[in-house]
Formats: sequence, C-alpha cells, structure tokens
Amino acid sequence: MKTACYLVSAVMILASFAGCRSTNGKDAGVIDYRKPDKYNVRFIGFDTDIDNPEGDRRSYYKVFIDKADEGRTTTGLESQEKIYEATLSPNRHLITVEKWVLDEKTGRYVKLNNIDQPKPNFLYFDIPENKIVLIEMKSSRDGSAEFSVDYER
Amino acid sequence: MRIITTTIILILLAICSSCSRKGQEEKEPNNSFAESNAVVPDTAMTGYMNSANDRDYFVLDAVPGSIYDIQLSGVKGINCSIVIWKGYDEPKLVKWIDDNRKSSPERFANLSATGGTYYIEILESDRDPKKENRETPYELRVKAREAISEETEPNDSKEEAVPLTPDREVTGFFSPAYNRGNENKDNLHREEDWYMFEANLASDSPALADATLSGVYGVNSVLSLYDDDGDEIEVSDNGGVGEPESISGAGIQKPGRYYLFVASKGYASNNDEPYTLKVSLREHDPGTEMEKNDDFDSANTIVNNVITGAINSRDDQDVYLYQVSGSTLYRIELRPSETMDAMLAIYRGDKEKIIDINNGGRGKKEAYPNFFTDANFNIVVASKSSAGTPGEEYVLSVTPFMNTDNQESEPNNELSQSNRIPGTVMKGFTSYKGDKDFFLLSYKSRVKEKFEIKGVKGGQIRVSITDPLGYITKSVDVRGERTVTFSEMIDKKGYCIVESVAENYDNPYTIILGGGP
Repeated sequence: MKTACYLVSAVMILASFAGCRSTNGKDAGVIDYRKPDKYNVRFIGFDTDIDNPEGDRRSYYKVFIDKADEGRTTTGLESQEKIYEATLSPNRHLITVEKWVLDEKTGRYVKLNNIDQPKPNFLYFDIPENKIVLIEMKSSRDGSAEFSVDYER
Repeated sequence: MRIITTTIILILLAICSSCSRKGQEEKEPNNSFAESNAVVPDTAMTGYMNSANDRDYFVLDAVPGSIYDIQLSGVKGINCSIVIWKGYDEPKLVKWIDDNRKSSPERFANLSATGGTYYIEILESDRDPKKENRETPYELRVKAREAISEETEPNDSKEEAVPLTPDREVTGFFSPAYNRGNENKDNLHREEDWYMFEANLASDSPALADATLSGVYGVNSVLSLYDDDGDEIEVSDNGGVGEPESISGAGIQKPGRYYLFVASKGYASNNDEPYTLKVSLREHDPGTEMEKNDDFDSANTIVNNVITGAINSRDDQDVYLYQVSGSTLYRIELRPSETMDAMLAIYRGDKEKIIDINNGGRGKKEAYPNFFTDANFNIVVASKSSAGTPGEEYVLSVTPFMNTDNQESEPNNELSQSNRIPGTVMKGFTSYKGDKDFFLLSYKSRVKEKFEIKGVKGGQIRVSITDPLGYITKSVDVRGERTVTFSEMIDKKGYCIVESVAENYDNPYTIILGGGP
C-alpha cells in the first residue's frame, strides 16, 4: 500500500512537471507564424541612408521571380518601404530586383544605371508550407544592399 | 510750169498748216469761265503756261450719254493738272486730275457727260513749284465716244453710285489716279468708283451675292460690298497687281440697296485698259455659308449637320454655330479644296476655346473625331495658306454619335480630364498631332492588370500606364492595327495614357482590360 501511494505520488509529480514544461515550452519556443492568404512572399525594399529630401527620389523596384518579370513594387520615395507581394509555390526561388527612379523632366520612371543598382540585387530563398516569407532589402547610397529573410508573424 | 505748180502746192500747204494751227491754239486771255475757249472733241488744242499762275479755261458742249477721254500732254519742267467743271451759270467741280509730277501728261479716261456745258481748266499743280513756260505748249485733246454699259464718272461716292443690273457686266477705269476732291483722311485723294444694286428678295429667306472684278495691268485693286447702312459685308483684297478680285457668297439678309466699291491701291491707274465688274444674286441654300460670318455674333448656324463655305480673303474666317440637342459625342470634319491649308478651332457655348486643329496640311482634311459636349458650340474655319488664295472652298460636317458607350470623350488631354473606363472596353481616336488621351484606372486594391491594345489602322500610338500620381511606369508602342498585350501593376489608382505617334483621324484604337468583357 505504501509502495502504491509512493507510485501514485511519483506519477502525479511527474505529470505535474510534464504539464509545467509543456506550458513553458509553448510560450518560449513555439512561434505563431501567420498563414498565407493573399500572398506567401513579401518583398520590401528601401534606402537606409537618405538624409536629404532633394536626394530622396520617387522610385520602385521591378521584381523578377525565377528570372521572369512578375511586376513591380509600389512606388514611393527611396527612403520609404516599397512593397511587392506574390504567391509562390513551396520551393526554392530566386528573386531579382531592378531599381527604377522617376525622371521628373519626362514624368516617367527610368531604370537606374547598372552601376547604381543595388548590389547584390538577388536572393535565393525557400517558400515553406504555411508561412509567409518576408524579404527585406536595405540599400545604401554607395549601392550596397543587404537582404534579410524572415517569416511574417 | 513744174516749179510754179510745186510752189503753189507748198504755199497752199503752208496756208492750210497755218490755219489749222491757229484753230487749235488757245486764245488768251482765257483765264476764266467767261473767257473760255471752245474745245472740239477729237481735235487737239494747244496752249501755254504764260505765267506761273496762268489758268486756261476751255468749254465743251457735251453730248448726253457720251464718254469723254481728256488727255493733256506733258510740258517740260511744268506740272500741269486738269480741273473739270460742270454747269454754265454756276459751274461745279466735277473732278480734279493731278496724277503726275512735272513734265508728265495727265489723263481722265472716262468723263461721263449728261449733256450741257463742261469746263476744262488747265493750271499748274501746287505739288511742284510753279513757273511759266512760253516755249513749249501743252496739248489738250478730248476724245468722245459712245457709252456702252459702263461706269458713269463721276461716281466717287455712295451718293453718286452707278446702278448695276445683276448678271450684267459693266466696265470702268482706274482713272484718274488721284481724285483731289476726295478729302477722306483715311484714303486722301483716292479715286473711288461706287456702284449700287437693288436686292429684291422673293421671300424672307436671304440671298447670296457674288461679285467679280477683272484684273487690270499695273493695278492692284480692292473690291468691297456694303449694305445701305454703310456696313461692310465683304471685302476682297486678295489679288496682286494685275490680278482679279472676287466676292463669293456674301449674305444679303434683307431686301434693299447694296453698294459695290472699286478702288486701286497705291494710287495706281490705267487709262487704257478698263476693268469689268459683275454682280450676281442667288438663293441662299441653308447648307451654304453666308458671309459675313466673321465673328461669333454673325455665326452661321449649321443645319442638317453639313455646310459648305469658302475663305474669301487672307484674313477671312468663317464662324459657325452648332446647336446640340443633348449631351453626346460629335465627329467634326473639315474637307478643304486642294489649295487650302485648313484650320479649325472649336469653342464651347461660352466661347471657351476647346482646341485648335491644323494637322493635315494643304488640301488635307482636318478632323476632331470625338468631341463630347452638352452645350452649343462654335466652329471657326480659317486658312493657313500663305498666299490666301481666294475662293478656297470647304465642306464642314458635324456628325453626332448615336451610341457613345465605351467611347472616349474629348477633351481628355490631361489627368484632370481623364475619362473613366466604365466597363472593360474603351475606344478612342487620335484627334490631333501629339494628342494625348487620359483614362483613369481605379481599383479597390492593388492589382496586376492585363491590357490588350488594338492599334489604329494607318497610325501609331504609344500606350503608357502610370502610378497613382500620373508618372509613367510602363510604355508600349502599337503600330498600325496590331494587338499588343501586357500587364502592369496598378496601385489602386493609375492612368492609361494613349499618345499619338502617327495620327489617323478615321480609325479608332481599342483598350481592353483584363481579357475583355
């Protein structure tokens, strides 16, 4: 009987520990990612070191997915976030961007010279199931670009 | 015997010669009307300027209905002039001829006599220093002839206008060059010929007058038509030296008396070659322009959607009024004659200018294919032809569209005038050189739109898509009637701009969105 009581107590204590660990694990280790709806990849591009309004041109990025012209981002100042969203199949993909800026004299956007295009201007990334991939490209005036990838939460 | 005969003949010739010269010479003193010498038509009369202020008077017993050509030879170093008077008891000034400078002859080609006494006074002009000349005589010659359907001088004013019978030619002379009796400051001493005709309109409907004036060597002429109130209806001053003038389709609005005016420019004259003048009247067809319609107040109303007209002078412009029955689209087309470089301007009811059109060049039609309005509008037609060829005829037509769905509405030449695309299809025209048609693209969210563009047959267009602010993000060229398809992102709002590269005003382009209806 005494042995049985010890066993029950031990099971309850273990169960209690297990319950506590499970709750703590959910809060600290499992991230609740947003599931794809209208898109599963979101590209955001902007310049980081614009400090003069006169040099802050209206611009957009033309977006190529897997070398196909898929459209462009929204338009905005170079310092502002310009966004492109799409739905891609779960796979590894290549995104390439091309920066266009407004020529105010002609009222039309023109492709920035290659020497001034962001470098690098591409990124390989994976589209997982049930996650939205966020690709952020930060550019600076000297042409250097930095990509970062995350999942939308 | 032979010597005697010869001597007798010579003596007789001398006597005859002496008698003859004596009969043609003036007899001084003839310095007043009362002392005037009789002048015989077709006989030369000689005389001298015996002093600087000498005046020689000659009297002519005129035959009614005769025309007298009065010629005075030049005298070296003397500037002579002729003054013609009429009436025995109280002579009245008829004409003062003082055309040329010293040493030159004077001439008045066609004094029309009504009978009675005429005086011809020879004196020195005050345009040069006067001086005597007792050595060189002048010769006065008066030639008479019968008048045959011609001008009756003096007809230097409206009050003295010569009656004209429509469709019958009359002749006249640009003679003399100067009429010293004309004291009008604007045209001082200009010789003017006035004619008059009666317009007896059969009904209340107006008539049109056509008048032609032949060209005369060395003379640049002008021809005008006035109503009885003295208002100028039409003027023709298109031809150069030696070229004719004509008035075509001048509006005779009401019955009454009308006047034609003929004059030379620059005091040119021609005493030998007459001009021919003719006026005709015809019924006014409502489909024909009626001058004077040079301003908005006198605009001709276009009935039955078509009117024919003519540009009659370099400065002529024809103004038309089109009365609309409701808001719709209109195609306005102007077809000129081969020589005419037609210009077209369109004004909305309140005289707001919508557009100037001059795309085609000489002999080419002009069109405004898609004019949208809900108010009466005016059309002004003019010619850009440098020579201003008179009588440049044209046909102006206004065609209302019955079905205006999915049709571009001009003017849509800037962002603020953008047409909305109501469905998925829009048709438009290139309306003038460099035309830009703006269409608004509006969506609830950011979309990737598919555009299918069917080009203009015989033309070329450039289609551009813009961001929400109207800055172009993509352009494609569409040649001829080819179809081009492309996609572009629209950030909820954007514009489609169709720019004409090579115009064609007859065939439309078509924009189809999202693969069509």
